[in-house]
Amino acid sequence: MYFEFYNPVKICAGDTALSNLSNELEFLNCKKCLIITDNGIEKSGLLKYVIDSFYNANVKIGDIFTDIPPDSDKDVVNKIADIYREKNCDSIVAVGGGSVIDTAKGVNILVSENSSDLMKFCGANILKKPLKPFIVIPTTSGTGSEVTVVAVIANRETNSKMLFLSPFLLPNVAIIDPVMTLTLPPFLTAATAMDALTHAIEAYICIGKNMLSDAYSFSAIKLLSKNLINVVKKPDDRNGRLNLALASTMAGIAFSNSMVGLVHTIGHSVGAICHIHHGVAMNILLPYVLEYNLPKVGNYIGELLLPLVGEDIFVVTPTNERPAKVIEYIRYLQKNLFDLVKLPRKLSETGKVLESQFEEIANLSLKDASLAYNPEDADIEDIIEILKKAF
Amino acid sequence: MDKMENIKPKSNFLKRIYLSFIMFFLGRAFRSSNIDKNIKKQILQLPENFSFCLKIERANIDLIIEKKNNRFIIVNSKSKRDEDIDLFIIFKNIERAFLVFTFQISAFLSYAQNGLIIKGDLQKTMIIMKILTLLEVYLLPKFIAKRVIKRYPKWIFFYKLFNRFLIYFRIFIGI
Repeated sequence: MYFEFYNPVKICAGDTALSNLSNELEFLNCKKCLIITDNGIEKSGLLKYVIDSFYNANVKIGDIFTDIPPDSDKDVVNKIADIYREKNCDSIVAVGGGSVIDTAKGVNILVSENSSDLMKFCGANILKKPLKPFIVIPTTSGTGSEVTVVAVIANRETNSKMLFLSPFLLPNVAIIDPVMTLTLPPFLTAATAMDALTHAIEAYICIGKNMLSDAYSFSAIKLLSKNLINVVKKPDDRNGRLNLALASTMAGIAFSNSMVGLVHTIGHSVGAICHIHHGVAMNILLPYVLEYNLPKVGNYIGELLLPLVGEDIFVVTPTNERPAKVIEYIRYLQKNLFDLVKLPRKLSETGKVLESQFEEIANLSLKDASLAYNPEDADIEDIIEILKKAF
Repeated sequence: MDKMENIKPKSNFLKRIYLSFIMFFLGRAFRSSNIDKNIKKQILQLPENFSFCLKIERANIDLIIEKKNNRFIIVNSKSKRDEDIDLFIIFKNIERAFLVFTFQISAFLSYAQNGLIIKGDLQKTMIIMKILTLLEVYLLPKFIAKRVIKRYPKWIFFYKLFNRFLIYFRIFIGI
């Protein structure tokens, strides 16, 4: 038994957490920061909260970049890096979801390494030194990107996604304020939360699992299960929003240290080829992949019944029935979310996936690094079979 | 005289000898690996002249392999600069390598436990790991291989036997 666990990110969480932003930048000896966000955040008024937190602060805002597309792109990263240098900024603040945070991670690589070629740093452990001060304020409750060592950025020239993996990509501080997720529409709340649930479950059942990541997974699953439906029904529930955001961060810490498996392997490829939302893909594939992994890790899946449904049902369910009950509960959760916000439960319900694309999806999946972490091996036929069931 | 000068960390000589032998053996196994159609399919996915280095940190043991004409060749480590190698798969220390090469844990598990440091493209790392897994099917008896392989392949008995013979033959002859 051996494992490593690393999470140096300072987490400021709860009501008014955002008011600490300028203090945290000052602690990091920053004078001028670049804020990176997207149009949606600006239009929803969330950016104003961030700007207001700089009132009377010793740190100035160098510039605000708001044109991040839904898929992070290396040209956008280069453009923002130029602005950072032009305005003599010394730190980065990312306000947004996965795409914004990953773009900001890419910008941090370029400005810290004083380069304009992101490709040079693509891959695992290429970065050699700490990057510029970096603070993340997530506005979705799903990616966990504020506490992960990974960034994915699209390369339109090669029509591929570049994967960056380094502990230096971790931000210095993550600010989790419920006010920042209050305006997230119920559909996206559901999809991103199912992404977080998948992170937590896969971190618990895949081969990189360890006792510390298990603890984070357990707590994340409990919070998600208790709060998800309530928040989708009542989006202005601040406490529920905070719980979902914290669950997402905990699931992020868990999977950053034990990684994810086959749900993500297939989900990444479905997303790349069919352009469906990552959270939607996770929601659809999760029960089918759990069924696939059942013979290998049924015991671990069964243990998840406790955080999912609570001790009352857990204690009256015989041990051998717990794994099936977990999958049954996830399907029940999916049904509720479909009834409430029409979150697709099948690939066919997305209207974007064709059966003729299965082979291409399966071939791409076999190259995905997350497959290494799945407890059961999968070949092209296995993946096509899962896709057929999920269609 | 500074008494710290007398404190010398001990190297595990026997483990180093064993691992040096395994790396030599593995290099020849990689060179013979294109006999199998499944491995050949994986090799074809790598670009021509692609090189990777299997290395054990602080043990001065490494193995550099390059793809030439759709098969692997062994490259002398002195003839290739680090900058010219596309991918490094580095065991953090001799103990982590020993666990993998005595087949107590799989290379995938070692990777998941951060016992391996990957420097380079992760997609290509997956291809190399897959080839290593398939080689283990040929090189190890089934009861050992099953401990380090997630799912033992269902190959035709005589196909496996014939290829195993060919791979071992080429390893011992050195071709």
